[in-house]
Parts: sequence; C-alpha cells; structure tokens
Amino acid sequence: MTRDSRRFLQPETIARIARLEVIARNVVEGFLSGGHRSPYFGQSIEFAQHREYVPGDDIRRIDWKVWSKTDKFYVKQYEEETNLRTTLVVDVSESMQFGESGLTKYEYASRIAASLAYLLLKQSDAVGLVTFDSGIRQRVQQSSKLNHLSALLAGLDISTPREKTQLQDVLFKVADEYSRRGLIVLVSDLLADRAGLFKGLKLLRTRGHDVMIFHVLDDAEIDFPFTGTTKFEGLEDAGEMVCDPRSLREGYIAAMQKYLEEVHRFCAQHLIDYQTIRTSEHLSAVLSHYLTHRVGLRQSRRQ
Amino acid sequence: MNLWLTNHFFNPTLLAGGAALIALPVIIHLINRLRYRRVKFAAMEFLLQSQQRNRRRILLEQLLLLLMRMAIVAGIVMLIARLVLAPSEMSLFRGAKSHHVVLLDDSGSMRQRWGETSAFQEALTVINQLLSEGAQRPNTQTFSLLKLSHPDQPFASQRDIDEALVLEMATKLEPQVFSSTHQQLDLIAGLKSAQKYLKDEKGAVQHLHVISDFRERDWKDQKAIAAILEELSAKNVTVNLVKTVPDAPTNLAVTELTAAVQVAAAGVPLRLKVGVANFGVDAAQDVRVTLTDDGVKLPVTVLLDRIDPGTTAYQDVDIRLATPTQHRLSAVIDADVLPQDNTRFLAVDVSPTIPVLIIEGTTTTDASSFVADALAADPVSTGVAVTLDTPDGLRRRNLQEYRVIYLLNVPELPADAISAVEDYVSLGGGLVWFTGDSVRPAHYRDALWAEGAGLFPIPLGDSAADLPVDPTVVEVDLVPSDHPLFAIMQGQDNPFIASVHIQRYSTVVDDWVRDDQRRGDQVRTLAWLRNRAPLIVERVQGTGRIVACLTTADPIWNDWARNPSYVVFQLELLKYVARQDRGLPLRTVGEPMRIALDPANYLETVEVTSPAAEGERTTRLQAAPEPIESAADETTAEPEATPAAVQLVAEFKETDEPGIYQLQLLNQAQTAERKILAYNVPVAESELALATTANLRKRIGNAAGVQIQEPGQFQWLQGEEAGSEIRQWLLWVLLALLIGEQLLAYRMSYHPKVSWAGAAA
Repeated sequence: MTRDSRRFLQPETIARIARLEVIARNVVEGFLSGGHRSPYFGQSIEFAQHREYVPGDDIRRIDWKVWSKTDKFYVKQYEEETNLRTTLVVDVSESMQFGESGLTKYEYASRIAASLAYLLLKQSDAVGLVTFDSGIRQRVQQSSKLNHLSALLAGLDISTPREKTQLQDVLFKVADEYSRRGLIVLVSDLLADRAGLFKGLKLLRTRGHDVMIFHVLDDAEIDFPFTGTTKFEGLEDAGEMVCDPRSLREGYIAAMQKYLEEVHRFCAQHLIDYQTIRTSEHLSAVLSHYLTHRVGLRQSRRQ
Repeated sequence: MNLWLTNHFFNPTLLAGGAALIALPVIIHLINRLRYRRVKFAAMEFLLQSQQRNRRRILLEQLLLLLMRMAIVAGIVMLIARLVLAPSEMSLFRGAKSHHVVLLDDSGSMRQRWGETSAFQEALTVINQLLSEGAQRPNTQTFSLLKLSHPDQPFASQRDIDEALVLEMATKLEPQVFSSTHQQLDLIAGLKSAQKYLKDEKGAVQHLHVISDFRERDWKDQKAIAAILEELSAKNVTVNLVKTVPDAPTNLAVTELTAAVQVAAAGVPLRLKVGVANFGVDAAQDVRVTLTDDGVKLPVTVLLDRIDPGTTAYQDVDIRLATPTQHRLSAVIDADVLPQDNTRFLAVDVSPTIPVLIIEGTTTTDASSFVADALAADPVSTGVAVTLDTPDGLRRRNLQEYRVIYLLNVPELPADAISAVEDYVSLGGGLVWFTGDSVRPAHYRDALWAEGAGLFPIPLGDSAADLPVDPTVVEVDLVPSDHPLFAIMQGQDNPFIASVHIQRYSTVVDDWVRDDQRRGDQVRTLAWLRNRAPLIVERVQGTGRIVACLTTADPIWNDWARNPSYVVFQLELLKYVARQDRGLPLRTVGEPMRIALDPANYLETVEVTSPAAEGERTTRLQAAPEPIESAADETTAEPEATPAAVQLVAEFKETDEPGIYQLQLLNQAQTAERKILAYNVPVAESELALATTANLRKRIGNAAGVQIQEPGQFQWLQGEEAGSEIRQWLLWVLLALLIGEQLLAYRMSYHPKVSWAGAAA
C-alpha cells in the first residue's frame, strides 16, 4: 500500500489522475448538459403498497388510519432505499496494454471507469473499484462522497501489469466481497479463459447483481489490418508467431467474431448488459449506453 | 549441355543470367521472412486458431504463388533467350498436322529461261525446299502436289513429309523427267480443283502454295480468282502465292506461219505468211526468220526491220515446194528467253496438181475455157489441172478427187447428180456456180435451192435482169464486200475491179431479204451490184463451201473475163473454195487428236509419231468403234470416210510437244497412209509480262490469309521454321501466369474496405 500511495503521489500519476478527472468531468457534464435528465434526481423513500398484518410484523408499521376506517390491520410497505451501489471491475492485465492507435485498451478502460465513477458520484451513488489482472490488484471501497473520485482514480493507476487474466477467481472474489446486490460494471477485453468468465458472471447474476460488461477491444484486434511479414508477440505469455497476417486475416476475423457472438449470446441469456467498445469510439457512446441501460433497468424492475 | 542450349535457344548466353533470376522470387521471399515487424498482440488465441485452421491452405497457396512467380521469371527469360523447340517436341503443341498443297503452274510460260535456270526449275527448287524444311519435322506435315495441267489428278496426294519423300520427290522432280508443258492452262480451273481437293480433307491446318510465274494475262480475270482465294481464306487455308520469275525480258515469238496449203501444188509458188510478235517493251530490230522444210533450210529468209513493242509484224514470202509429198515447214527466229515460241510449224501436203472439174451446161458457149484459162493458163505456175465435162460427168466421175467443181450455166441437174454433188460438198468439197441464159430458175429454186438446204445458196427469180448502163453514174458495177476473197483487189492501187461492167444478171426472188444480218441464215453476200442486187453469194455447208456468181463466167453478160482482175479473182476463189481438209488444220499443243475412221476402209490400228527433242516416238493406238454423232467432228482426219452407222475412233492425248505429228493409218489393203499435223505453242503463253505484287494484292482484294512471296526468296519457308520458336505460345502462357499471379496474390492479401463504421457491432 505504501508503494502504491507513493506512486499515487508521483507528479506523473497526479497529472494522469488529474487528466482523467478532467476527461471524466468533461464527458459526463457535457453529456448531462446535452439535454438528458438524469432519472435519479430527487429520489426518496416512497410508499409502495399495503399488506395485511401477519403476526411477527413490526407493529410500528401498522397503518392506524386504515385500521380506523376498516377495523383491519394493514402494514405499510415502502420501497427500499434505492441508492445504487456500483462496483467498477476494471481489467488491468497485460493484454489491456495493447493499443495500435495510441490509446491502449487500459487507458480507455480507465477513462470509462473514471467517467462512470464521476457520473455516479454526481448522482450520489456509491461507487467502488476493483482492478485485477491475475488476481485482484486494487480495491477501493464503495462510497458516495464526491471526493471519493480521487481515490478511485488512484486505484486505476497501476505500474507493472501482471500476466494472465484470471476472471473466474476475480469475479468469485468480487461476488463474495460485495454481498449486497448492486451493479457490477466489468470493463475488460475478456481475453481470458472463457469458461471461467462465464462461471464468474453466472455467479454474479445468481447473487442478484446487475452485471454490465464493457468489452473494450482495439480496432486492430477486430479488423486485423496488419500487412507484411509480422512477428506477433503474445501478451500474457500467449506465445509468438511469425506469419503473413494477410493470409491469416480471414480465419482470425472469423474466430474473433465467433468469440464475440458467443459472449454476446451468453450475456443475452443471463440478462447481462453487454457492449463491445472500440477504443476508437467516443466515450459518450459508452455513457449513453449506460444510461439507457439504467432506465431500462428501472423500468423492468417496476413492472 | 552447351550443345543442347545452342540447339534450343537463339541467345544461350542470356540463359545463364536468366536462370539465376529464377531464384529471385525465393530470395525475395526469404528476405521478407527475415525482415519482419514486431507487434505485441493480445488476441493471440484467435490468431493461433486461424493459423491452425489455414496452415495447409496457406502453405499451398504460398507455394503456388511462389512457383508462379518463378515461372513468370522463367518465361521472360525464355522469351529473351528465344527458346526454340525441336520439331518432334513441337508436335506436342500443334494438334493437327499441317497439309501443304502445292499447285504447280506448268504452263508454257514457265519455260522462261534466264541464266542457268528457268521459271519451272525455280518452282521445283521451291518445292524441294519446302519438302526439306518439312522433313526436319517428320510426321507433322503432309504434302500434295497438283499440276495445273492435270489439277484433278494429284501428282502426289497427302504424303507424309519425311526424308524418304524428299528423296523420292528429288528423283521424280528431276527437270529431265518432270517438265513443264507447252500449253496454256486455266489458273481458275486449277484453283477450283485445289479448293475442291482441300475441301474433302478435314482436321488439318491447310496451306495452299500456288507456285507460278504470275503473268499479267493469267490474273486478268481478277474477280473469279479473288472469289476463290477469299473462299479459301474463309476456310482458314493459308494461301501462298509464290512467284518464281524475277522479271520479264523482251520476248519475240513466231505467232504466225500460214499459207493457202489447200492449193499447194508441187513446183507452184506457195505464199507463206510469217508473223513475229514482240511481247517486250522495246522495239526489236532486224529480226531474221529462217524457214526450213523438213529440217533443211530454205533459200529464202524473212527479215523484219522493226517490230514495235506489243505489235506483230507480218511478211509474205513465196516458196516453191518441188516434190508432191508432205512437207514439214517451220519458221525459226533466234532463241530467246522462251525458246519454244521461237519456232512455228506448218504441215503442207503438197499434191502434184490441184484437180478442178469444170462442168458447162451448154455447148454453145465456152465459159469453161475462160475459167480454165484463168486457173491454168500455165499449169506450172498455178498447179491447177482442169478437167472439162458436161453435167453427165457428175454422175460418172468420182467427185471426191476434185478440189473444186465449177458449174457454169448449167440448166438443170439430174437427181443423182444432185445427191453426188451434195455428198461431195458435205465432205468438204468446194462448189462454184456461174449462171447464164441457160439456167432454169424454177429448177434452181425447187431442186437446187430447196428452201435453203440445197446446193444453190439463194432462190433465183424467174428471169434475168439487165443492169442499165448509165454513163452519168460514177459508181462501179461490182461492189465487193469486205471479204478475204477480194482482199488482194482492195485499195487505190488496184483499179481493175472498178472497170468491170456487168450488163445482165440473174435475179433473186423479190421476197428474198437482202440484208445478211436480217436474214440470219448461213448465206453471205460477197459482192453486190451497184443497184444493191446480190452478185456473189456464199453458203457454207458442212465443211464445204458453195459460192454462186449470178452472172456468166464468160463475157456475155459482163466484161469481167476480159478484165485482168478476173484471173486474180478466179485464183483467189479457188483458194477460198478448195476443200479445206487438204490444208491440215493448225493445232495448239495439248489439244487431243481425235481420229475417226471408216471401218469399211481402214483397220483399227493407228500409229502416231510425235516429235520430241531427243527423237521421234511412235505410239500405236487401237481405235474403238463408236456410233457416229450427227455433227461430224471437224478434226476428223479421214476425208474418205462416208457416213456409216459406226466409226472407229482413236484419241491421242499426248500432244504437248510442239512440232509435226505424223499419223499413219492402215487401209484394208494393208497399205499405209500417212498424214501430218502441225501442233504449235499457244500465242498467249509468249506474253511474259508479269503481274506486279502490288497489282496482285489489289486484285485479290481483302483475302486476308493470302501471302505473296517474291521470287528467289525462301525466308517464308524458314518462317515456318521460325514458327517453331514458340514465342507466341510463350507470350500467352506468360500472360495467363501474370493474370493468375495477380488474382492469387489479390486473394491472399488484405484489402480494407472504405468504411468500417459499425462493422464490429
């Protein structure tokens, strides 16, 4: 921790965090001022329904006004407190360091996380952060204070990315750790063991979490525009190969599409909100998707 | 190895460097393998998957691409080094055999000589070259040879070209044994035959080589030739017009040697007409014509001072043939480029005398003596032996002995005499009528004219008429037509005929149409009176001629007999009317000799002795019986043959050599009768003017597959050889390889689409 905090104090890091904060603010505020009213303003404890009293109910909840009119005991039920507890689970493994167009997937993922965190904190929602590679790297507790942002941003900063992504373990741990139901936002390139990923996600869903996945991929990973003899050195110890990428392109794209479809189908089956994000896309698209999702979530819950 | 290289490449030295270049694609490939870009990549999983799945395909494709690129380099190297394949290897590339059909012009003009060679010899050289070029690629070509003289009988038909054929043809085509004809041949017929010959054959690449001297006159009928050539090229036949003659020098030819041989008599002067034509472009000076009789030079010489180009100079010369035998005359000029036309032959059957029968109808007049005096006042100078007789004599005598029969002032003829005279005329005898006051017009009309079929040419009117003397009229009484009979009396220099006076004449019936053209029968008016009444008329009946003069032969109705022109006229009339078969017809070489014999008189064995440079050759023929055709063949060589149900016919076709042919017949008494016939070269073949290449091109029009080869050039033969350099084939392969390489490379490479918006959603 001391090492991390020292790193946190490094001017480079500070500048980085500051820049992230500025970016996040720009994105979110620009977005909000763009005319989309946040649906979360003015939330409070709201009456939901009456229910007949059964022994064991707290007698303080009995609605006496109803009793005076009907001579029956009814209990008043309220909607639970709706403050959203969001956990941003950000992949900082080595594979996230890939970026052909200048911006690495890690940086893009950080921006997504920062922007979401800022947005949520603005809405007084509690935001927590977990970064991971082969294991959990950083953990920032949930809080809804606005100054919590800097802690989150510091948490996003990592120095030496470790190798393998172990999603199953990480997701299991997250599930264990955050037992209260909330929104889990997974920002990752999902280049990991598929079975583990699916197991972890399934567990999160079983535990009642809302899961949202931002699948961050570089353009080069989707379109595979490489030409000429190229030596591909795999990140995360994935081996290396020299080949003529043009000849392999078709097969690669097919494999990639198949994978994306598989993930997509899984997410659809388990009501997981899934979005493929190209690092070339603007962040506002991400936020727009998030907000749409949130509206959808509320509506679905009320019905 | 070096030998192999030099055998297969024009530029073998280029090949060594070129072979190194073939390794170029491999080297480029290896360099590319070494110089690679490093990329740290996250999604290796998919890349590995792709590689695993496509490894074999990629390997194959890359190998194929590499091989293609190497093949392209190799192809370019082969093109530059100019690969030549051996003929046997070539056959792999050529499916069908090629068939070379040679149409060889062996007409008389191919005998044109220059230096040590001749047009025909050049043609044979071309054929031998063609064969020896072909023999270098055995079993790829076939050869046929058609001669223009016998285009429907191939000299060689679809023979495989190999060494054996080259040797065989070298022997067969020796100039001594295989020579050009002397004839004029039909190029169009030859081309048509070749076309037919080619049409019968299927599935071969056909070449037609027309080897000829290409004379201007042969190519005048351009449309027919162009049409055939166009049809041939439409059928994908390559036509090669091979010229063998480089230029056409001045050529002189004896084109005429004629005489009134029908009246040739021993010791009597015979007037020969000699004509020499100049077919060149410069005038010929002092052309000496030597005349020979049976190979002995005659003491007369014809000297023609000047012959302008394109014209013929004629000169008449009198010779005296002393012996009453068959004489073989020839007119010879100095040998030039075409020796055959420098000699012309004439066969003359000289008889001791010319027997003439004069029949006079009345004894009161002496018309016969006037005629006899005119014809034979001095028998030595004219050779005419006159026999005088009465009409009865026609029944008694063998009329066939006489060349001409005169019927003077005959009142009428008995029926048997008429039939005897009719036979005489139909077999070629000559008949001359003179009228007079004894003539009975009704008999002449009914029995003799017989509606145009009888012995008298025209229907006589009932009475004779007077031609009134009118001193005021300057017109002459006798108006001769433009006929050879009067040719000698024409013109200013000969005023005698103008002073002839006719006082009386036999008339023709009134409804007789006087205009020869309008009447349209065989009767021709030879002379008129000044009142346009016919005076001398002629009718040709069979081979015989009948001339009727509608006035008297003696000076009763006229004063002609006292005029000097009378003798000339009578002698000319004799020559004109005298039976033609004595004058042996002039033939052109190549004409078949048809001999018809009366089996009653002759045996079927016929011997023909043909002239030849190396000595005479005798051929024995057996005449075969054949029913007589209604129209007697003019070439019937037998004068005495009388109409019979069957005649013996022999045909002798080998009359190519110019000269005198002797025909020997055996009569029933086993005695030989000899006849001689002169065969001369056709005049047209002496015209040596060449059709220029430009003219030929223009005339054959747009027949695309026709090539014209200049004389003495054999490159086109080697051009066939150069075809074995598979340049064209290589170019196509190279093109296919380049296209294939591009397609494959395109397929194997990555081409980003213009827009990727939302592609990976």
